Amino acid sequence: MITGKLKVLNKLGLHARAAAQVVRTASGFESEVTLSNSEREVSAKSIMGVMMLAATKGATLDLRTEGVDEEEAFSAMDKIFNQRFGEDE
Amino acid sequence: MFYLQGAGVGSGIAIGTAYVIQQSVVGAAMRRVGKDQLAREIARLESALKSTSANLEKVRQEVPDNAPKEIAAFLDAHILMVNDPTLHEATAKIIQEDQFCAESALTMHRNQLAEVFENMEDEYLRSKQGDVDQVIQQIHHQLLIHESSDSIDSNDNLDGCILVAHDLTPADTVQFMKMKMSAFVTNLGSPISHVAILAGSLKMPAVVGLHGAVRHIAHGATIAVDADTGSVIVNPDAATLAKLAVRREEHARLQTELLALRDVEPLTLDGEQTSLLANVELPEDVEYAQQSGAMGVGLYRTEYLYMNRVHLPTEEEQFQAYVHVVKSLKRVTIRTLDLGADKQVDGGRKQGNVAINPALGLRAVRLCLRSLGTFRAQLRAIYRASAFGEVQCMIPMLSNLDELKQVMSVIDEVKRELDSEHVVYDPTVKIGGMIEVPAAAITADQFAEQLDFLSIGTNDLIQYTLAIDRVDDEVNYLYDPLHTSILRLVKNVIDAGSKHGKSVSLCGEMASDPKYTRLLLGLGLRVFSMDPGAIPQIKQVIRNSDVGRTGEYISEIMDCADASRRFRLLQRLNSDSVEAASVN
Repeated sequence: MITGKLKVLNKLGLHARAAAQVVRTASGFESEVTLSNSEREVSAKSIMGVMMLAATKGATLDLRTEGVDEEEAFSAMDKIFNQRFGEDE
Repeated sequence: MFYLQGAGVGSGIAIGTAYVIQQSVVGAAMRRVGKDQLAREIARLESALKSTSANLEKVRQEVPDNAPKEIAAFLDAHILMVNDPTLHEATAKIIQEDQFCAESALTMHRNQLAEVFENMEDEYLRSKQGDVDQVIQQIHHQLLIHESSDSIDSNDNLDGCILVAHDLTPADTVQFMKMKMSAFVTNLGSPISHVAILAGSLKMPAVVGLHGAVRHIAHGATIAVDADTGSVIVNPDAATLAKLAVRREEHARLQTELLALRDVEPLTLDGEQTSLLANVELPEDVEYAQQSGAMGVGLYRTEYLYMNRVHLPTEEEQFQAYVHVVKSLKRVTIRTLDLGADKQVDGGRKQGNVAINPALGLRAVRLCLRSLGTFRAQLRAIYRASAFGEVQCMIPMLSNLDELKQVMSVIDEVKRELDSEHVVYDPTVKIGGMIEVPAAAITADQFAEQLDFLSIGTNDLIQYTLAIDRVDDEVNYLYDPLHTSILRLVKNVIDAGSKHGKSVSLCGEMASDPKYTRLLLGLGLRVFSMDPGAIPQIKQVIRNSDVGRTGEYISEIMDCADASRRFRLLQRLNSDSVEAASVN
């Protein structure tokens, strides 16, 4: 199991399109990929769940990956957050 | 002729024939079902989900190549929502446990989701409930095997028509693109909903949130849509049409003009030379800055290199990132780490207690002087990059001269180290300071004496001076860049710079807001650093300003104790023009 923190860098936060990017990335792995904040814990493979986190720019989320490809899943998630989900700002 | 008012999005004016889509409201009454029916209801739900998904997939494949990429992205998000296991499981659970029909269960689950969305603090994220509703609406349609009377008849020629609808789904917009309509009006939506984003990317006028649009606008009527004012004019008369046509040309002219400004000098009417620089952060920003006509980089934020990662970036990694920017743009001002407060470190360490008041805590230069290893690595990377172009180094959040002395001695050490390693660097790299703490702004003359340049960070300066947190909804109404204290501090810093012959720039949001451009020019500012996107507009204001004429307005604004009067004086300053004066 790997745990770590991710920060939302894009201006608009985890809205529908950004959440879609997260879900697509997480769904590419067999491992369980979980995101949480102080209020809720959700599967990163559920777009509704990810949107429910209501994560705005600057928010920090806890990431947990667990399974055969947990390392790859962790770094892929880290990367997509860093790249602001492919958004310009 | 009559006017309807909504929120204008996108840009420009369109005049055309209204194509009104009547939408029957899908209302599912709450209906309980017997135990023997539950399996059937769940099967109905599953098949509705499946066909909704298939429909969306089909539309997704039909997205024309010239469609803005947002349309496909929205459709992808909707497809993921329909296929979201949570949606399926939660709705099926309601059917199973509470014995409701599929429609009712779907509505109940929708309400559960809506409750979470309604409590979201962020307005934009809250508005995303609209996407969820659209998806659920589509599933409802499938459940009711609703013979669609509300879609566009594909035999109609809609070239140049203006679409009037209750709401538009991304799927609708794809169809809409193919039909070459010129504008759209919707009952629902807000300036931050996806309809608005689409209008923006299509560079098309639209009015959203015009409740009753579908009811009040007759199919086939001539209407005008004005994105600037958010108004829709139904059956405009000849005089109004003529006026609108003039404004439409004006709009087109303005767009070309702004584009053409890229290569012109930012000179004022009375010949004062200014510098318009870019604030950049990510490597991709470089291209954006080049396109905007920026004369250099006034603020290169380096924090992104440190965030969202497990280990600190190496010196080499930082060096590579800096060289990329330095090689692509002239004169690059690299700001050393400004972590802490709203930007917490993730790279490396984050132990210890979280400060109660991080904005006043261990951040920026304070944090750097505490973690000397990290600071040295960054300074080495900056100096090494200076061999590849003109580099300036800027220290954030200085509050006293002792801090500056410490920074200078670290810099001297780093230079000696590089010398002993025979590494090439520019020994004349200018060292500047961000003036963003009131203490530094008040004693700016002392800082100007010691530093090569100053840069006013108005965002933090305003926050610290007025003691208000901009992101705190309860107090952010107090955020006032025109507060006399702020104007005096800004002026004090500019004056200190000119007294000591040092350059002073301003890199906060005030620099990118055209409202403040003349005011800042009048206060003596000549170097503006901003988001590259703002440069053409600011350049235009500068080219229409006469610094010599700002004097009397400025002294009146500086002396005025009444906030609303200050704002009116600012408006007068901004509407002043040489032509207006010669008419009087």
